[in-house]
Amino acid sequence: MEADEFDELYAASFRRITGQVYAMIGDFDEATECVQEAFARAWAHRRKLDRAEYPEAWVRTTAYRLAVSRWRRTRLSRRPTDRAVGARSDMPPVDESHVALVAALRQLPEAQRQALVLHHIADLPVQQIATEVGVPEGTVKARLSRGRAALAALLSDDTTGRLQGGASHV
Amino acid sequence: MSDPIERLSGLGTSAQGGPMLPAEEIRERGDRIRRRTHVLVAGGSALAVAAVAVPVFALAGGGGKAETVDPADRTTLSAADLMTDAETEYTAPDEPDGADWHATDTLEDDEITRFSPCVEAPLSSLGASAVLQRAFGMRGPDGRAAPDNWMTETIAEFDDEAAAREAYDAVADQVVGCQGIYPGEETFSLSGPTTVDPGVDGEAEVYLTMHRPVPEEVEPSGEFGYFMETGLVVTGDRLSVITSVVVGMDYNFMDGTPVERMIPAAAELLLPGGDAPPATASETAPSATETSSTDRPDEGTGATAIPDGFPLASYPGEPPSRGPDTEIAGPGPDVAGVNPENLCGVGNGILSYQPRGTDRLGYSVSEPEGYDGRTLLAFPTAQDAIDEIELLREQLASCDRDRLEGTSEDRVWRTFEADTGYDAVTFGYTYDGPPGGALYTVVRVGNGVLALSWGGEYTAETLEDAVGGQLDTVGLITPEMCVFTEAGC
Repeated sequence: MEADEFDELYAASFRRITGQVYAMIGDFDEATECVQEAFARAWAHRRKLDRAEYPEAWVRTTAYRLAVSRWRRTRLSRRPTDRAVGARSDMPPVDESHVALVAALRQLPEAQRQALVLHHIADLPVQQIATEVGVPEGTVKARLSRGRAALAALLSDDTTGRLQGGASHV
Repeated sequence: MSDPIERLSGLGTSAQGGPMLPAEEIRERGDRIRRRTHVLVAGGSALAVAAVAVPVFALAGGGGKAETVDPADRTTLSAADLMTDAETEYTAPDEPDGADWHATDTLEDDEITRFSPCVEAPLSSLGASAVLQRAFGMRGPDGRAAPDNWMTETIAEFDDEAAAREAYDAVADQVVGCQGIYPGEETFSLSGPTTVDPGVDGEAEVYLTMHRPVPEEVEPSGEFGYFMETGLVVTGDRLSVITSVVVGMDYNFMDGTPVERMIPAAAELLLPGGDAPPATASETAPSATETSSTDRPDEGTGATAIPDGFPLASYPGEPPSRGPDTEIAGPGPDVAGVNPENLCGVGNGILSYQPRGTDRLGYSVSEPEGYDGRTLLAFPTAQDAIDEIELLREQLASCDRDRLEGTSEDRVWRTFEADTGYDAVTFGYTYDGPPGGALYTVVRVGNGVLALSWGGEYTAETLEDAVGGQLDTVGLITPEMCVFTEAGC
């Protein structure tokens, strides 16, 4: 992959992948940084990227893994995360209407959340999700089904709560 | 919008704000990652290249030898004429924390097997009257050995300048035709020679050959190759041949290749005269992991019972609190603390199931993301504690990787250079495939031994990053272990 091809991929998909990773992890700053780092690694391994059927999926998977491992490392070692590319930028505020949705997503098991995001946000078919995640298609379908039900229940609770005056759900 | 799936789909299109760094900056970061890749390939089977790497394996064992140079005899070839750690170069100047070479051995003529994979004949057969060689190994940015990467500098003295020049040309001819030397070599390319100003009266040039691919045992993608640099320096009746072999995807250096950058220093050393400095940094400043317990001052034996209220649950920051997902046990004598562990099937040491010492205290925090286990042991004597640490070191030294029964992934063990100020060893493992692993520090103060284990979904990179945090915790507890020294607190 030449520089101009890479730049084209970066320009076309950076924001889209960031949105998807944000939905998966619930932290917009972290999602942005991890996607930047994933693109840097994609350039470092561009021969591998050349052979990838879906370069965008390669970047998304790498970014998601980075985000998960960084989050876990931070939790485990109680140290600040490193900032691989550039300084932390001033991010625009995330739309308030999405806060409850992202909060609900974060309450789902990781695998269900990932399946929902890949299917309903990244618009991937079940077969491709199965390939990307490395599980059978039936497993993806089950995760989607359970995830949808759980998300609906969580958002229903949220709506009810707000109507009742914002009671907390502990 | 009340349908959760509609809301979810909407999130993907609206949550795409945020600034983008210029693509050029991302590519620059990628280029830096790629240069580091050369030295991150470690743990592969070095035996796969044994056919051409024989000189290095012959050299690599045993560590650096003491120099035996007669200071009065500076006109004949001596070890003082070889590069030391200080003169070697690898990482680009703008990346001072990158990989570097370190001397592993110094050999005299009759001990030298080969000086280049491209040249079978010894330099003595090319007319050299004296030959010396120093071997170097590589450590990555994390201090981890990169066993597939190696370098030698071989220096020779000839009867006259013409003989030295003739040998120089003969070696260059062999390097140019150095094709097909690696088993399974499919691609060969030659760059150079690049003429380098040696800074002394003489000549120097560097050849770069690429041999691709490396065996799957070394790197499975098929994209990596052996990059061999051969640097030749001739000055007067002396010749220096620097051979470095590095496994990597490519070999790009903006400010000259490592061998090109080493040439002036090697040429200056090659001139007759000069003192013999120590070959390795570790000869003057041994690292924690290279120092055995017996090298440490003996603090004597102190208390054989752990005092009440010993602060085993200390934290550099806010301590964890119990919650639905957080289980905390201890500190207490019956708490497991560090999970039992075995290395390559051997589990008869500090980390074993068997009771150890005269007293113990355990503490643990278990969360979904990981496990923090701590065990403090008191032994009857300081020597008993030393024996335990030495046993652990022996087990680590003989276990690079293992596989637990019933699992399908190898655990890759690493030891980290980490100085606690005490007799200590920091080590851990990650899996070859999926994230997961554990990090341990075991530290002895007098007759007391503290072990910490952190388990989590580590990668090789994040395990290394966690070392600092674990040592911060160790540093909070070890001062309290003065009770286990003869002098007390």
